[in-house]
Parts: sequence; structure tokens; C-alpha cells
Amino acid sequence: MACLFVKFSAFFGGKDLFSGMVSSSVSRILRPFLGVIALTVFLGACAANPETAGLQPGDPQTIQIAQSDSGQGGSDAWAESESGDFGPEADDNDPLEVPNRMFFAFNEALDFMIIRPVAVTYKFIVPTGVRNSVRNFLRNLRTPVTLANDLLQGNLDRAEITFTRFFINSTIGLLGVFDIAAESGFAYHDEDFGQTMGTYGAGEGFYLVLPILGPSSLRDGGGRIVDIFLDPLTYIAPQEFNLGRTVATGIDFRSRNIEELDSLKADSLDFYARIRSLYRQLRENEINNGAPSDEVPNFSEIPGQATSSLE
Amino acid sequence: MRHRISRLLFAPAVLALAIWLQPAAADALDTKQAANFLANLQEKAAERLGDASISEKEKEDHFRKLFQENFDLPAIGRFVIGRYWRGASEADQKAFLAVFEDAMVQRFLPLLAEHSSTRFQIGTVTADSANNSMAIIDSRIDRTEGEPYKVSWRVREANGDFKILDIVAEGVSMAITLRSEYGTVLKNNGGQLPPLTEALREKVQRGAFAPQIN
Repeated sequence: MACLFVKFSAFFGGKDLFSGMVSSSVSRILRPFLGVIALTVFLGACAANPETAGLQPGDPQTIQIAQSDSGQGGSDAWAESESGDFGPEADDNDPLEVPNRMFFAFNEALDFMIIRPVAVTYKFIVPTGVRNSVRNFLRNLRTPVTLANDLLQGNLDRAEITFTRFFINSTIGLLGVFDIAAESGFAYHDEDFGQTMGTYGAGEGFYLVLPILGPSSLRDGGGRIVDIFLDPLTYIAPQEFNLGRTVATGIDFRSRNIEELDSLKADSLDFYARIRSLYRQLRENEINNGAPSDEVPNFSEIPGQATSSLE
Repeated sequence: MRHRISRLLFAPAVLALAIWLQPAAADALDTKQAANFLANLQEKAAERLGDASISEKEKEDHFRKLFQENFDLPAIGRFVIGRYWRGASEADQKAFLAVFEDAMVQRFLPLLAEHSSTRFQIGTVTADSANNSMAIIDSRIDRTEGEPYKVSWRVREANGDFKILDIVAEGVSMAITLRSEYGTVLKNNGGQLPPLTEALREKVQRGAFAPQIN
């Protein structure tokens, strides 16, 4: 795990550039995060499986670690469930489950007391049109990060769409308040550095629940930090503006998922485990840009036609 | 003249060849049939469930019947329980499947009742390259507000009959999510199926599976 991070900092010009970038205001913003990341990298290194340590991102084995929730809906998973032929106990890839569950409970309490009421109120008093404009504006602010990650993924088509959107929406869309570009066929998409690492074959590392920010993973949590560096607003906008923007993005997201999250929680037996699985599947879907993921190689010995009886 | 005879002979030969090749082609799943299966199911569900003159009880009975006929519930239940299935007694397995069916009916009845066929569109059908009895059917459900839902259905064919194994919405698979969640619950209680069944039953009795539509 730690080696993965060393690799990525090397990718961005090595230690000198890294420390050069951490200048005054940025370092103030990031100091708390760096502590958390240093800790997670340290814990990650300790928790890393001896056999997996030293693997490079992109190795087939690295991809398969931590994918307990993805690539398992393939036909061989169904065949396996019918033959009752299971390998070793499935790994949840959640070595920090105990602290994760603590943060999860903390986030749930916070959501119950503050975030959900604010989101419900916001949705109730602000008309849909205005809320959509708020989202358009926030999305437009995020364009540089999306563009950088489109380019880092080598996806020039999507980079072009992102750039065109930014150009159209920032001008005739009045600084992004109106999403004119989407009506002209340039649909919105989101990219982040966690996804970029995913497209190069990096596994999630392990599951992580961040305080306030919610479900994440070693890869995606690290990606968030890189995205802060990739964002020009980090360097030019006042810190208060960036904080307000983060809060607004969170409230916008929450206000659009009120019923969904309520339903998800209502019929769950273990809400933590459910969200963990959902997060992984959604990330996998985002990394593949909505295309079905490559299924794990097929076992040639699929047991005979499954019977749908109880024997 | 001779040319015509050879032509006349040629046509039956082609036909014979086609018939001879038929079984080989039939081994792979017919994607058109799969799409028809889903379209028919949706129509049958929407026709009765959207009818305001039918009582809720009748709707539920009707939907339960459709569900039993068109979903491979035992296979789904077994998939969701995974490694702990074999360790459970037959009675426990049966009890679980009964409650699981109630939960699924409670979950999907309102959703199907909501979607009239004009808003439900079937897209491409992809045969599963790793298993020739399975296919993934893409569909799109339009909403009055917001982006349409992208929903995929994993179906399996056996002797010309199709059954649904899984529903995948926006990349999230119902079967994988439940398997992961229930797997964690089972692991934490020593792999015992009955407590899980009880917890599910309690949720079903409270109506927790019914989606909260405002």
C-alpha cells in the first residue's frame, strides 16, 4: 500500500515538487488530512498481506485484492452458489472494520442531527430550478479537476466534452448557473483521481469510512487529496469559499438522496455492510464509466444445469 | 435448364443444412426471446397492478404469482446466503426462502405498479459469454423528474423458460449487495441462518421493504 503512494508522488515530480506545492495556505488546509493519510498509509502497510506487499499497481493480482464486491455477479458466482463449492472465506477487505464502524456510527448521528434536517429543509424551501442551478454552478467549479483526470486517464473524447462544457457554461451559461451544454448534447460526467488510479488497475486498497465525508477507501481517500492539489481554486480562492463549496456540495448530494437513503436503511439488516457493498459497486461502475466490468475469468467446470429446488 | 435444376436442388440443400445446424444455434440463448420474456412480464405486471379497481390484496396475490413464475427465488436465496447455505438444515432453508419471498414481493410490487409500459423500454440484450444459458437485458425506466433509471436484468434460460436471477440498477446488483450484507450478518452470528430469517421476518412485518415513495 505504501509503495503505491510512493509511486504516485514520484509520478507528480517527486518529493521536491510535492513539498514545494505545500505552501502556506494549502498546507494549512491539508495539515489535518496529511495526518490522517500518514496514519492510514502506516496502518495500510501494517495490514498489508505479506503475499501482496510489493505488488505494483496494474498487476492482475493487485486488481483482484479488495474486489470482494465487484466482479462477483458473473455467471461463475452463480454456478459457485449452486454447487456449494466455495473457496476460503470471502474477505471483506475491511481490516479497519472496528474504527470504520465507529466513524460510521458517528456520521449517522451527525446525519440524523444536522445533515439530513438541513438537506430536507433545503429541498423543501428552495424550488427545484434554483437547486438545479446551484448544482450546475458547483459542477462547473469542479470542471478543472474532472478535465485533469480525463486527461490523466488518456480519455481525450471525454476531456473534449468537459472542456466544451466549461467553455459554454461559463460564458452563455452565466458562470455555470445554467447547464446549456447538456442541452446541446454535452452531458455532464464526473472524474476524480481515485477513479484515475482505478483505470490504471489500482485496487481499492481497503475500505475506509472518513469522518463527515463518509464511505471511501485507501485509493479514493488518497485520490481526494490529489484532487485538492489538482484544483486551481485551492490556490486562488479564499479558504472560506472552498469550505463553503464543500459543504454546499454535500448538502446538494444529500438533498437528492433523502428517500433513497431512507429506504436503503429501512430494510437493511446491517446498514454498514450494505453501504460498504454499495460504495464498492458504485465506484467500480464509475471507474468503468458505466460500462459493464470485465468479468472474472470463467471456470470451465460449471456444474450441470442448476435445479431450482432445495436439495 | 441445367442451371435451374441445380438451383432447385440447391434450395432444399440449404434448407436441410439450416435444419441440421439448428440445434447448434439453439444451444446459445436466443436474445430476442429473452427480450420478449421481459417485455411480456412487464406488460402483465403493469396491466393488473396499474388497475385502480383491483383491491390491494388481489394485486399482491397476482404479483406473487408472477414473481414465483418469473424469478428464480430459490437460486437467488441460495446465492445471497452463499457459503452458509449448505450448513443450514432443510427446514431452515425453506423458512428463509418463504420470508425472503415476502420481502421481495413487498419491495418490488409498488415499483412495478408504478411503471407503465410507456415508461419502460428494453434495450440491448447481451448473452453471457461465460455461460450460454444466461443473458443480461438492459432496460431504461423513465421518471417524471430527473434522469431515467438504467436497470439491467440477469436472466437464465432453461428449456425455453426464462427466469430472473438479478436486478442491477446503475451498476449496483441486488444479489451482490444482499449477499455481501447478509454474509456479514451471518459471519457475525456464527453462520446461523435462523436469526437472519427472524430479523428479516420482523422487517417484513413492519413493512420495511416497501419503498418509501412520497
